[in-house]
Amino acid sequence: MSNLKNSQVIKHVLQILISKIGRRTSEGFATAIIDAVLNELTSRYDFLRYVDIKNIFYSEGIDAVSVSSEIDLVDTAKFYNAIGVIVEMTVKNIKEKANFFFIREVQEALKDIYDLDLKEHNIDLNLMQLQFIADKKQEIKMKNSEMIEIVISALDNVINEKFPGAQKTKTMNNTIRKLEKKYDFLKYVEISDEPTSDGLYLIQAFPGINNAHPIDVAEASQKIICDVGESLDWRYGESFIESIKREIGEKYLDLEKMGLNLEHIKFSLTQQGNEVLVKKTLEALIDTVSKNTSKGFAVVAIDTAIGELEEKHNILRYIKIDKSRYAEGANAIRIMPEINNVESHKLGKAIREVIRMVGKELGNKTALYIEDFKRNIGTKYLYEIEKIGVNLHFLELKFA
Amino acid sequence: MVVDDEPDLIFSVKCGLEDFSDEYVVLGAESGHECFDLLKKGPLPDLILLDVMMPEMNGWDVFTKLKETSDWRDIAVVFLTAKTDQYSKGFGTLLANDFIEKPFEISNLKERIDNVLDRVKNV
Repeated sequence: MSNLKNSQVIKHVLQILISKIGRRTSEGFATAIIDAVLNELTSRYDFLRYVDIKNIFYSEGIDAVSVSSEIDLVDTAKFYNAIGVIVEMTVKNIKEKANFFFIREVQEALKDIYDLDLKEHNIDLNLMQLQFIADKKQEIKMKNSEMIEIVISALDNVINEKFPGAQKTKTMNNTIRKLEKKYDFLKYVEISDEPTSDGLYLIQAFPGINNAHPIDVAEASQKIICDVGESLDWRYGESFIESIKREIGEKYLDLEKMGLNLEHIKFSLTQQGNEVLVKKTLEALIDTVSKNTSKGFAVVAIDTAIGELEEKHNILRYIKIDKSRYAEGANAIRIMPEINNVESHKLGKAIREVIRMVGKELGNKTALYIEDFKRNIGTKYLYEIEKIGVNLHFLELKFA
Repeated sequence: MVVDDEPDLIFSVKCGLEDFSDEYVVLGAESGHECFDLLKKGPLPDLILLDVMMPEMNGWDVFTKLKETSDWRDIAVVFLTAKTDQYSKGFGTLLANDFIEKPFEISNLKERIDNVLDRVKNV
């Protein structure tokens, strides 16, 4: 059981709901929906009057919700009952705009408090997700076999531009066979090893796959896209997913009804992006600083730099460093998932400033420091941080 | 407190500072472990002069441990560094309250210590 206060729980839940709805619609819509839900429920749960939603544009979903501490005195059972109802009613209100996995997305974003707190108080988002899918399910005319063939063919065409021929087919086949362990029905999917006379590789899904639940087939299809992209070291992002959607064409709407959601992949890949990028950057920075000091000291240095910069670059508050675990190096650092909602250019600026601050007093060793950092972060992530505005060459010049 | 693996240095700092004024009471520790033992026993010093290059546990690790421990986190730390050690100077400036290059004059050391303690008091 967590020791979270009611005010902390409701604030976090509402922020996540606003953030998730806002991404699919608009910031204004998200705050308006939550505001309306709370207004409607205030007659039933009068303590909801302690919650104020600023129905204005907000920044990264953080400042739209303010909660008065009076709510902490509310009876726990009544409070959590209201939390469950708020989530349910929000989902109902945005039904048309929410995708199949909206509740799952919310659950993932709430992971920290969901496992510790909400579940303990009988808020079962898994159940809510199942109910939601059941409600949303419409008459599906397309068969699973057709869906997966469309998806794989589209993927095949997109990656064909970069990886023509046998390598691509082998990767796709390997991916599908690997996923077969989790999605048994993928045994009905085959891609020929040899090209046809037209130079195409035949993609076939046998009727056995039609006995599976469409939602599972949709999920497996998404996973195939993700894993193939990863195996081919494809640079994820909007263009990759958009290309697949373009290839699928107007049938995408039908596939969506069956549960396929490529937006979710794009979203989760972008989401993961910031978190991974910050993690890799900090690990490289620790390696760089500790080369001449120690791992623990490197973390103290980063913590100090973040402390000095946090006021100006407030996104750095999403990087939590446990002061009692400095000596554990990177393990002392926790990056909060909220960092994924941060705009790239803001993240870039903040990262650049941390690197600069840590090395700013190194005098004639600065160039070496930057070189070490570049080597430690590696080409792939160096390219990624440069893309979001971390110009290390500029930093070198600035130091010089 | 002076933490340095050279007993001669501890001795000269102790004599030098305590001769200047009764306000100084200097404790010496020849290793990080001895430093932590003294801190555990108390009383806590106002400032630690910390040598970077020490065998077993170097100054960086001692510094990390000090910052990890809530009771010791706010003790002012001044790094004692070799003249050529740019990293100690660089990181020392960012993280510690000051750094002093070895060898040093006691009068200079006293001035730097006084400055740090004044700054810490004002904060």
